[in-house]
Amino acid sequence: MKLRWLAGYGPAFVLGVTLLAFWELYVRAGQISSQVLPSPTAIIQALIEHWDVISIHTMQTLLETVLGMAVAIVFGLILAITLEISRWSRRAVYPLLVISQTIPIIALAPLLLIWFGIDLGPKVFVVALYCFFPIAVACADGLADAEPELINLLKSMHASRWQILWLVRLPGAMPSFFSGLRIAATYGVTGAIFGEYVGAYQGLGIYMQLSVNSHAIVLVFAAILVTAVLSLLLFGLVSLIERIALPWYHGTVIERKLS
Amino acid sequence: MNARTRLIASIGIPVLLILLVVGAFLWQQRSSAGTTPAPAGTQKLIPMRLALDWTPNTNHTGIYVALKKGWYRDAGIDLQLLPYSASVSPDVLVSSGKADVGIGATEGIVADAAVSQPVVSIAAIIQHNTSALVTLASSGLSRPRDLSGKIYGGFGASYEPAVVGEIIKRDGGTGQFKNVTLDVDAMQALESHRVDFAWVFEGWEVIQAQRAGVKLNIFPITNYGVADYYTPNIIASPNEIKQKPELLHRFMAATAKGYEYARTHAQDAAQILLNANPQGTFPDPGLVVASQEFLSPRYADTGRKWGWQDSAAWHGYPQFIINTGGIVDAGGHPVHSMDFESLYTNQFLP
Amino acid sequence: MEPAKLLVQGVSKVFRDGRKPLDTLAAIDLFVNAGEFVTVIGPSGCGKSTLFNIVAGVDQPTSGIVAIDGDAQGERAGKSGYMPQQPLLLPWRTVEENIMLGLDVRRLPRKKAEREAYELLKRFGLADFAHHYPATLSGGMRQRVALLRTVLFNSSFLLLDEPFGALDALTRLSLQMWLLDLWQTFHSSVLFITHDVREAILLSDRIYVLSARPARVLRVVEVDLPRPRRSEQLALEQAVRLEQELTTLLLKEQQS
Repeated sequence: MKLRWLAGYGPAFVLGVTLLAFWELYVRAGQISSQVLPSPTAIIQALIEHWDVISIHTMQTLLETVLGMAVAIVFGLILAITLEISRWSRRAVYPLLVISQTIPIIALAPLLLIWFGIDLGPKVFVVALYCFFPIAVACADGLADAEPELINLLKSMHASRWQILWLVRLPGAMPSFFSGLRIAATYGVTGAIFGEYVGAYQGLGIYMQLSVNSHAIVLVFAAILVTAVLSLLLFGLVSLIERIALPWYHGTVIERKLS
Repeated sequence: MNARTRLIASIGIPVLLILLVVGAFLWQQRSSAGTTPAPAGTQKLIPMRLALDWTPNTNHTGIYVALKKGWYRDAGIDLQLLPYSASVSPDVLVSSGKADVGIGATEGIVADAAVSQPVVSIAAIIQHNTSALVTLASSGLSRPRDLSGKIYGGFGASYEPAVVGEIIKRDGGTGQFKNVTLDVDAMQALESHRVDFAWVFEGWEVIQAQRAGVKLNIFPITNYGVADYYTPNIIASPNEIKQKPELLHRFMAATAKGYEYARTHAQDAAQILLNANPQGTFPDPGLVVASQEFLSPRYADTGRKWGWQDSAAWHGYPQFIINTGGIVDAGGHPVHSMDFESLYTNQFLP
Repeated sequence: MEPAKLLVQGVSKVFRDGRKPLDTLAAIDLFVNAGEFVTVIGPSGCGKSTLFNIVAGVDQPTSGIVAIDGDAQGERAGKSGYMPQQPLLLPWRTVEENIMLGLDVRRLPRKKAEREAYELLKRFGLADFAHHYPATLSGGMRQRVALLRTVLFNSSFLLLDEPFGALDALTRLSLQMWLLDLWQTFHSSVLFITHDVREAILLSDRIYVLSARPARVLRVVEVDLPRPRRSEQLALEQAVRLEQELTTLLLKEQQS
């Protein structure tokens, strides 16, 4: 089973290695200045050399991401449930949700700085702002999707509205919730970095800024590499938790794929 | 695994993860000790916040020197440096009271006054303007008039085209050029031949380029008809000036001491700047030293004390940029005049 | 004399959702005595499921009385074991957990509910599947699980809406026998819907024939076959006659 799982990633691996090889040769052949695009080996080298400094910034950004996503999950779930319970709130709140996603950080930044200061506050806020939306929307759609016949069955058992929510709607909405969570996880780290641009003492975003100002482009790319790895890890974590929480979902999906 | 266990696991694992990250973060913070100076003994220090305008560089050296030598502490001040924020300028932080003082630029100060959110320059950090337009030596653009019709990579200020155009016209060119607002580092754009010329500071980017072996043609702007003006400045809000003049006096005394020291001890000052910031802030320590050696004598003219501002510098350039129509009030309409004397004061300098 | 398990008197239902009001039920009268197996047959779309929804307490009649155990005023929801056409098993629960669903709604303590569910599974030969997920079960198995869920919630009064409609003939037969076994074990009162006349004759004590929409009761017949029922009994002369009579009636209704 392990072997088959690994084999599944084979083509992606080959593609990835090929692209990296081309990249390396492109830079080595002097086709582009290493001040603009460093080679993969240079990036890895710089990452290792400067790891003690980069790791500090990484932990900061990771903390902001993780806390922001926790807030996003709690808020997104509560919001989805609220939208489900009240038809009125759905019509009133949905447009506001969409608008919340279109506000550029540049406009928000001064407000955030003045309200939250320079500590964790603004970063957690920015991460939560951009992550709660896919979670809330996906979960709300999942909640609304419950089979009417099933709701009738529960009603015939004299189940209260809350029981129906807890026993049927919420568990049924979990696959949708997780797909929203996956999307959020992809944006989480980037959101934290944007939040750091508001103002921060440390973090991968700040580190990149410092490196740009010092013309150390290779360090910028090293930070980008760390960002990419963090995002992948978060994504993988969500998939892992989904596997644990919804074994039944994957059971059927995989069976269908194999049959 | 039954439903209950699954529920607990799916909530428990993320919570555990969060606790892990928080724990690792705190542990790392403690073990990395950091370079923040330990607070002084039992005296009650007044906290003051200074908003930086950029990542730490040699414009800021005097402040770091005064910090390191404990001169702020001696003056009863606990100075905290607020890091640079790409989205929020020190002007906003100072005028909203989030910072007591900050680092600003003349253009910013003029613009702030126009939209009725004024800040006041209480010191000039460098006595004369050190900005320059540069081109790559290999481009063959060896004087400003060659820049006619070429591509300029700028920072998107409304009066920029007028100032740059003036420089070109002074040298006999047409003053027309293509203006591109850059989000990337101007030198990068220049080196990759995407733009033909850019606006940089002799004390930093030019030295950086020299160290990297990049040959440039340098046109200091004051050589080409642009009135000399101060940049950067130390700014404070009118409120702060009214309410805490005594504090500002003490602050400026310590700061001036720091810059005077940096003036005469370039090497040592550079080292202080390097040590005061976390590792990784300056990937090229040699640049800091070279930049400091360039800048130190320029903090003030010989025989003058650091920080003093002349009225001429506050009339020439500000009037020039106002005349371009690029300075607007809060409603977006260009302003035509301003009380320049209110933009600066020397009252806090020792 | 104890009151009928279920009494439906003059129940009508008009839907006013769209522009035109929809007359679905027109003055239905029927009853189910304690321990009786009563079937309702009728042409497709005549409103049998609507009637069921009303009895189960999910919907309200426009006029008329519905009394369960003699109570016409109280809340009807929760007083019957309602099984809609689809098994509607929750995919995230195992077979055992699915069966417990009704007990969870009643807020029975977990341990007790688990014990009762397991007992039931053992009794009816499904103990091996207790920890399987519904996705791995066949159609017939899912219907059995749904039936057990219904019975565990309320074994005294069952409302079964065409539970075997989607199954193949052989599975249907074995499930019909299995249902009769269930019915006898619990002495339930059953109201059963089907469009299959033979099934109705095989299972019921009494059959109500409904007309096309708006539905009213066309005919009530007693099924006089001996218990325990066996599929061979459908070949008996009286069974055949009954089957022909009912089929003709239904065809006429279907065409009109």
